[in-house]
Amino acid sequence: MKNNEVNVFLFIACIIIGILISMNMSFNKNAIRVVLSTKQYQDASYEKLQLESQINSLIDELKTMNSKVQTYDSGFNSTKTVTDELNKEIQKNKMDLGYTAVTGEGIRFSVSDASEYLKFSTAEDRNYIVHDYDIMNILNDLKDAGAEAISINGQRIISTSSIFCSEVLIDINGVEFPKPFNFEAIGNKATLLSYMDSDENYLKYLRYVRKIHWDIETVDNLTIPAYNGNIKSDKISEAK
Amino acid sequence: MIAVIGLLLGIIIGVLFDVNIPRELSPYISVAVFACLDSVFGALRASLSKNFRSDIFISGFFGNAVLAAGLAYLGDKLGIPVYLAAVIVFGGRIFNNFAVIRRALLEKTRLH
Repeated sequence: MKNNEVNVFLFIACIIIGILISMNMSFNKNAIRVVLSTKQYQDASYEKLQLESQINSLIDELKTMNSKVQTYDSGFNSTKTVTDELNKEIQKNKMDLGYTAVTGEGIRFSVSDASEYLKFSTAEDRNYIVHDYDIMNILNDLKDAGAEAISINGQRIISTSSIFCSEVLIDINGVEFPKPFNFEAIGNKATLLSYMDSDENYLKYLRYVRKIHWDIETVDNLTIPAYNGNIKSDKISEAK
Repeated sequence: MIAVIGLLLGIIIGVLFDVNIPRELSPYISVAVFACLDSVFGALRASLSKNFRSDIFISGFFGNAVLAAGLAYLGDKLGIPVYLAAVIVFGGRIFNNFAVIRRALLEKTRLH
């Protein structure tokens, strides 16, 4: 009798353990286990985070697209809703292209020659002057830091903007400017500041190696003017 | 024998119903399973030495499991691997119990 009782309890207990074990084991054949080093694990989790944020932004985009489709569908009968929606989209595209003045938080800094180091004869002088390629490198850094709109001395930088060396002046969007060069960039001001101010970036190289001055300030309300030139599109047409 | 049958039955039930617990909880369940296994071995040993008591078994079975899982969770929150303590204690006891069971069974077979 006593032995029977033990058996019953053991049986029940073992069933519970079995269920727990099978719950905990994955019988999924696709699950391949890999042992990662700390570095690999960090990289992988970083990648996971990035993918998740990408997914989130894609979901957001899907939502806006869906709501747009809905407005088109529901406003099919009234032309005004559709035109309003289209106008809004044109405005957004213009803003993205740089054809409208934009405002937002961002950073502002000015880059100028290291005048006190200039000797006006030596080949060294090259180092202490701001060149066109310096402007380009700074622009690249700004874009990499996530700047959404950039201007130099009031010239909006767009996809077709050009920067040339023109003797002592620098030609930006076809307009020649003397020093100093005032950069303004709209974006997350904390990100922009920390990125541009980090040691591996071009501005630090300018400061420590080339002795060129600059000082970044964050601005809450920055206005960047529109691009006022024209984009030539004589020869291009949409590819089919 | 009955234990092995029960274990197989439990695994089959678990697979058939395909209940998957969240990945975050799985380490705690593992520790709990270990505690339960320890209780089962203890019960086997007690039944062989004829002093099995159902109340002790049931309280130990569930109490140990909950305590082990709870300690493992607490350890995780505090940053100490407390589950190691559970694994060492229960692992040691399982081996002890198994040694006793083995001896008892061998004694029995020798008598016959």
